[in-house]
Amino acid sequence: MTALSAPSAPSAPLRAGETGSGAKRSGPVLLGMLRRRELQLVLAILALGALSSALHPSFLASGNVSFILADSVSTMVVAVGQTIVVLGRGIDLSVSPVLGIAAIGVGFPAQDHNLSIFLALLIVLVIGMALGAGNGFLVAVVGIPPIIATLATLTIYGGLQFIFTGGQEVVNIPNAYGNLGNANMLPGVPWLIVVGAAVVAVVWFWLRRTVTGRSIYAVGNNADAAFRAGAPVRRILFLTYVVSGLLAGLGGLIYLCHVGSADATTGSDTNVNLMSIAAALIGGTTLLGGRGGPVGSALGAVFLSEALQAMIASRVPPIWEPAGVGALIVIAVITDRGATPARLLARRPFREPSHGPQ
Amino acid sequence: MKQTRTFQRRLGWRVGAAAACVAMGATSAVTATPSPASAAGLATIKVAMVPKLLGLPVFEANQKGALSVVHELGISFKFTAPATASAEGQVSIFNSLIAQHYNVITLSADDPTVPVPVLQKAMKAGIQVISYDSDVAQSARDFFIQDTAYNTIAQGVIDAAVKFAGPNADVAIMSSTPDATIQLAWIGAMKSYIAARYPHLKIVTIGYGQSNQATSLSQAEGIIHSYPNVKAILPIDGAAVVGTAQAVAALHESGKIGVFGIGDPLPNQKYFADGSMQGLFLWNEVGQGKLTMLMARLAYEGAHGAPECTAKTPPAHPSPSQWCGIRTNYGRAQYFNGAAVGLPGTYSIAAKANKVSGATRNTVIFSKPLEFTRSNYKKYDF
Repeated sequence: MTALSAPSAPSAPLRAGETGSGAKRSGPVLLGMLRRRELQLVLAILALGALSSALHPSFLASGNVSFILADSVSTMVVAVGQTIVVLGRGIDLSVSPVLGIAAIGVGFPAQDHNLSIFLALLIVLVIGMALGAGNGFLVAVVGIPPIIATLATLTIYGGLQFIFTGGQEVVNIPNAYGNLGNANMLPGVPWLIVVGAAVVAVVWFWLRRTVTGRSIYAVGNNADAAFRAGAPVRRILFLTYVVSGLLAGLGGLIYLCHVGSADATTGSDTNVNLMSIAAALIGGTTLLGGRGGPVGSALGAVFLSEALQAMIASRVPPIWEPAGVGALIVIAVITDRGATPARLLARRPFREPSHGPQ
Repeated sequence: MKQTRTFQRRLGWRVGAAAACVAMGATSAVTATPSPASAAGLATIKVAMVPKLLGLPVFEANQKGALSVVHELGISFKFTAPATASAEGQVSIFNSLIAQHYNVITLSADDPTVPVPVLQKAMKAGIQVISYDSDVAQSARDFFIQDTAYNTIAQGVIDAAVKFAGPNADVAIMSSTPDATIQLAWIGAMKSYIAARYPHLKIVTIGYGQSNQATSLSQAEGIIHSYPNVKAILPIDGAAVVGTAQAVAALHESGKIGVFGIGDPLPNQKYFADGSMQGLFLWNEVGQGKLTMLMARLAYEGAHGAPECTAKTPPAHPSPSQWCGIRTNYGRAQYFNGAAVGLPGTYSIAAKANKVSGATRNTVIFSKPLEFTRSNYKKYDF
């Protein structure tokens, strides 16, 4: 868990990455920190854990903690990719089938030919990048609004996933995969969460400490202004979809390791689209772009996983569980004060201003 | 091992069709036509098999069974379905089958009411309609092949769980979705059997895995943690079976918490081998495909003047002149022999509904469930 705790506020001049609404620096430091969504989420996760363990003592048993964390990682990795796209003021509705195609793409060779896990990693990254590049092409090159472009690829990729499986399921993966998916590094600390934390750390560094990463925030805040300032807007938008696809592909391998099976509807049947967007929103990334980050999204994924187990532990009738998850999303969107419907509808694809930069 | 085809080969022959198939509602079809010599004396009939959707292992197993017998039954066979489980997709397929003058349509319905008008149109056109696995409204089909009797499969699962955990244990059920018809029927049958036979056996909760392995896994894990007295979990949906076994294995509860469910043995070989799965029950899906084709032939014969199937032991391998026929308006039980397609025993078509088994009018109950255990699971390839 410590690996996931909130980073200190960046000191770089570009303010775009700030999670708080105004980033007022005059108030007491502690109060300022409490405004950070990451810290709020850490507190919420701890509070929910304490509450659930009061109701049900074994909730914080290391086995359960480790399962909650491991169960969150495939959503977490996809949500981090989703966050990158959303920061650039886009959205990726095709992550479900990208995850699914990656999972079956390595699942069948692993099952039938004992594909090594390192090769599998390479393959899912390539599959993810290729499918992500398809999205990037439609959005950044052709100029189709992201919601339409990725809805289209959702259907296309979903159809391809269906064709590739040919009615077969992946059901018998080699032990190396299952061990990675369910073994612990320490009691309560599954190996998968280490993988998830590493992904978050790399993406955090990329977004906060590199020019390209910072430009994504700038593009999401105001694409026209970023363009005038000399940022290669189209290239950056293209890149966000490629990285989102790449991470969705990685999510597919993690899913395969953790769940142990995959089929024609993997990804779509667990609503990976919705869950990744929900984790990002809960984590403080706004759908308007330019604000948020991977740490919040990762914590959002952990929170969703914990909330589900808390509902089971507190004997909420199972029929109510989907409604519970939905309520969390509503709360997240309400507390995301910048995202009014009017502003969401005003979203449009980027077009170069007719009178380019001076 | 049946999954010997490589992924590459799978890709190879399918990619060509990809462009045509990716659009929603696209269909694909497998056809087989018997050579004229194969079914000497039998008129070749056109039979279509339309499952809920393409790509589900259970329906592929049905198809495999059907394909193995169409030759000797003189059937020109077509397997076709929507790419997604869509009732509207099935309706357009039925319309095209009517236009192509199929003799018999067999189907597993995506929805019990949506296809009623088109199937009634088919029946008016002289086409025999036989539903299997998932029924349509009774007014829109001639016969229904029910997988197995609800009470028998429920008893099988409960008896096996009691043998493992004792008659006073806490057990949990893992189902698919709260509105799944057949799972609800099985749960009902389990509850009434428990009430009658094991009054101290307690169902502490019913989890819903939403028909996918990942949600089933999370739910089963939650149940194991939240109900520490649970001694057995009963998953009654294919995805729930895999997810539950995976949860038991991941939490190192193999052998301590019993898993007894309803599902195929093949996807669960790993869990049988490592001891996290104790028992599964299912009908023989391949055999069910064979029976569906035999019924198609008998229904066609019944509609074209063959004598009624009444004798309890009709000839095992009828010569063309000996075929009997089945009809919906005989109004009494009809019997026929399964030996013509290699199925043992005699099948009966109930004229009346039966609440205990779940059978409705003109229903054939395909078989008693098979029991798969740690000692026999390797023998089955579905």
